[in-house]
Amino acid sequence: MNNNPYWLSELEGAVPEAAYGISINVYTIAFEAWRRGLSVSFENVYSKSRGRHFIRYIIGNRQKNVKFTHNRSELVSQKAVRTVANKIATRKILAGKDIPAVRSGIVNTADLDAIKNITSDFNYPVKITELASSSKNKRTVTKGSPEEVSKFIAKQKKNAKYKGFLLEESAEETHYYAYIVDDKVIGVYKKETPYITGDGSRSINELLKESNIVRSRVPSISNLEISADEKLENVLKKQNYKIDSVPGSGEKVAIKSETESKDPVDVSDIFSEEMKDNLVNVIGVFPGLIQGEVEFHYDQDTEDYSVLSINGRPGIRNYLYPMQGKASPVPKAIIDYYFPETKGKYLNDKTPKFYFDYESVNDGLRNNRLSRILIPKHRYEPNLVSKSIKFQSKYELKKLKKMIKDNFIRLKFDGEFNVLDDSLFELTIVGNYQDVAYFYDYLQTKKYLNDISTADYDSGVGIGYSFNDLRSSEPETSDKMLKKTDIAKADKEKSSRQIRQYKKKICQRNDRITALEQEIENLKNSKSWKVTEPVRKIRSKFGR
Amino acid sequence: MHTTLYLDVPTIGITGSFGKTTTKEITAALLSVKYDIFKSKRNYNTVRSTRRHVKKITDEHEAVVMEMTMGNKETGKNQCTLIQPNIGVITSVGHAHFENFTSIHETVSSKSEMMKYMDPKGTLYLNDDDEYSQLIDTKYFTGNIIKCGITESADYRATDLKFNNGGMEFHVELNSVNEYMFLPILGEHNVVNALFGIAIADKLGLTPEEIRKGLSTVKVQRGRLTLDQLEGNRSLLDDSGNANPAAMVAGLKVLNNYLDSPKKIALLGDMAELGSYTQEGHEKVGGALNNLNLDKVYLYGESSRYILQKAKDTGFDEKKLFHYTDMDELIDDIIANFEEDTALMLKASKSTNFIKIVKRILAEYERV
Repeated sequence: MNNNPYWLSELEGAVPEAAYGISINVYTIAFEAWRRGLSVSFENVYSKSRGRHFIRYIIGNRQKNVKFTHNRSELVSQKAVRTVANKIATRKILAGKDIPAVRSGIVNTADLDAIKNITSDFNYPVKITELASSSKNKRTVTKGSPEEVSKFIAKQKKNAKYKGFLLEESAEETHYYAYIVDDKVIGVYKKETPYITGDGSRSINELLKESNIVRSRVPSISNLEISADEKLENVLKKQNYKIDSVPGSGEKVAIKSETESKDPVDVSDIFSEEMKDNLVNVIGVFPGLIQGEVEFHYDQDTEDYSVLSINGRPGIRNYLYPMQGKASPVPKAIIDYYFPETKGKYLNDKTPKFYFDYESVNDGLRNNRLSRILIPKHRYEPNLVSKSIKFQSKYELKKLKKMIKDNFIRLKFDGEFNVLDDSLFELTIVGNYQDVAYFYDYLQTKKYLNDISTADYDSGVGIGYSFNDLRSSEPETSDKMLKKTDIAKADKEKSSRQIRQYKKKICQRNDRITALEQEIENLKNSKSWKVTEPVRKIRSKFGR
Repeated sequence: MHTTLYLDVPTIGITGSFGKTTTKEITAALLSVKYDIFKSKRNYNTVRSTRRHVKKITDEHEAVVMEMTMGNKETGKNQCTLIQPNIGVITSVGHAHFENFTSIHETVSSKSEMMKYMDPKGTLYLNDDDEYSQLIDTKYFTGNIIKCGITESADYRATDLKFNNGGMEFHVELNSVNEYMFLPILGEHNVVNALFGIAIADKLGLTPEEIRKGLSTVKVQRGRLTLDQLEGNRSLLDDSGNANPAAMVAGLKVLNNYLDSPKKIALLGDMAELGSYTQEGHEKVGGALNNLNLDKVYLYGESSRYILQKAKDTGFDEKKLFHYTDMDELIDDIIANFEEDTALMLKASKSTNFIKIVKRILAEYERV
């Protein structure tokens, strides 16, 4: 990638770690509404039909409230969402409306004639998806001719009990994804194998590091950075490169294999207005689908296209964080649609950048400690400034915390008190410029504080007061200390994210083990177990 | 959602415990000579009113003059969040609307919100004569500060004050020239209010001649120290629009010092919204009476008993004091005692409804 994607500036430094991953859908939409002065609340709701609790959020003003789940409002037709969930049915509906759709069919035989018959007008190669059951698909492969398809199915049918095989044409064509809201195409991306672009002077390793800086900024729970490991060496070897090779200017070097996960690349600009209208018409076939995603093939030369599927529950991260090109403002389009009167009116245009705490939403609601959370209104008033104040002190941390917190409350500051080291502290503050100046002078009067310095602070500041102990266990040399803030924060975020993931996985596994143990125990105690005991004994005696 | 209106044209926000409306009217009158201005209507100065005013401001307006109450904590912030003044005026700090505060320092802090939320590069005008305005801590304000008053240290200072022909004559130094000014309303405190307007106009490039022209057009609302000459050489000084202790004493001084009448009567009513300052505020007026040469003082309302008591305690002639709790009885006695060659001043909070008395007097005696 060229490492210079244009992401939405309003989200830079304004996405808390707790909103990483799938939560980015909810957070960015709620955030967009919040910074327009709309009220945002989250609630934990029990769904009888789903048989579980789920998080819903409500965006509103004095006139109306709109309920959202994930990035979809309650006003999106559930019927339409359910309809488009079935790919084959969707294609049939589209074909009925003369909208080009990818041709597909299900076969459960290896008979060549039957396969030829079904795929007579297909563009080869085709994608074969093994259907294990009506709901669970198995792996997919690509085959270039009816004979290959027949051979593959024959082989598979021998050793497995598949219900059938879904054949889809044009398997090797690029997939494009278009997000549509309110009859407008908001953005289109395609997926590409990650690559770096040479500049004729830097090595692959150096370019990779640069690329990884961009990747590390994507609010993802999984690590998107690409390691310079054996795997990469193999990928490079296939292209006749080594990690320290210097690719020529403009030369593209893949840094992942074709089979690995791909990067989203924004391609919104390549489509004509006519093509965009076509995509809008696709969504229009399903009344009530206010927002949705069209997955399609596209030939840029002929402007021919065919629809693969429609996603009624699309995620938006790939639109917000493409690895190349411009981010598509999907949250903006969604809030524009539901609250058109707030279009273009942002409270944070004239204030420092604020964000709200998403940790309490995740923790408080998901853990059932709270049933509803109302996010405080976005702070909005003239003359707010954002500053970072650093100082050194050997003062007792408990007392220091109290002094800082008391002043934050008294002076109505928002921000953080970060402990960077045993004696190095940082405050990030948003407050009235006079109060901040006064507070800086006030700190100077405290004999137990030394080396107090202040600087403008551009990144986002969470509303309210928070205390973060960012101390690492390893001792640091003093010359490194000043650089520590950002590094420590990033490290802390990353490691705590990983720890949470591991803990979550362990918990899930433990729960599963406990459930299975209980199941086995129940089975052993059941009558049928006792009745079938002689059969098991005979089986074990004679082998299976 | 209402986003803040930041204008490139002079945007004047006027707050203070008293004198806001008069200062607004004077400033608007002066700037109207040169600019197409928007001014807030009457004394509509709440956040709600400001929200309505802001909607009426257009690109055609070359200057905006807004009266902004800051009588509660954060009201100033809310006012400036609707429209940010680049010129701020704090006319005075006193005990008006004191029911919202527990100490004068809270009042100071409330009025100081103008300074905190106005344009940090703008200009703030303060009253150099006002005792409590000295408590405004301007250390962290990054704009310019200009002080107006009669005291020597003022940047814009009125000198040679005289009452003449129904108004105040005074001099003020503009561009090193001592300029004569005439304000067609009464009272030293209104001269200071006029100084704010003059200072702003001067900074915005109006000539002394333009300023004089503007001052000549100043009209104040009925009940804000307006003077009516009635038949039989009667003078009616109507200050029944609103009241607080400082303004009441100022009004009494106008009656005492500037009206040339053989007999002088004051009719003082309750001052509302003083909260914990009610007794002390009324007593302050009672204490001031002894320094004035008045023939009779009529008092009306429960709180005005404090005026009565303090006046007696400080040696004011008891025979000259009359207290009423019945409005009709008061009106009858006032009409009977408002003899020829008499000046009568009325002052009370609006809620005391002295307008009823004014109407009756105006119905009884024709204007000349």
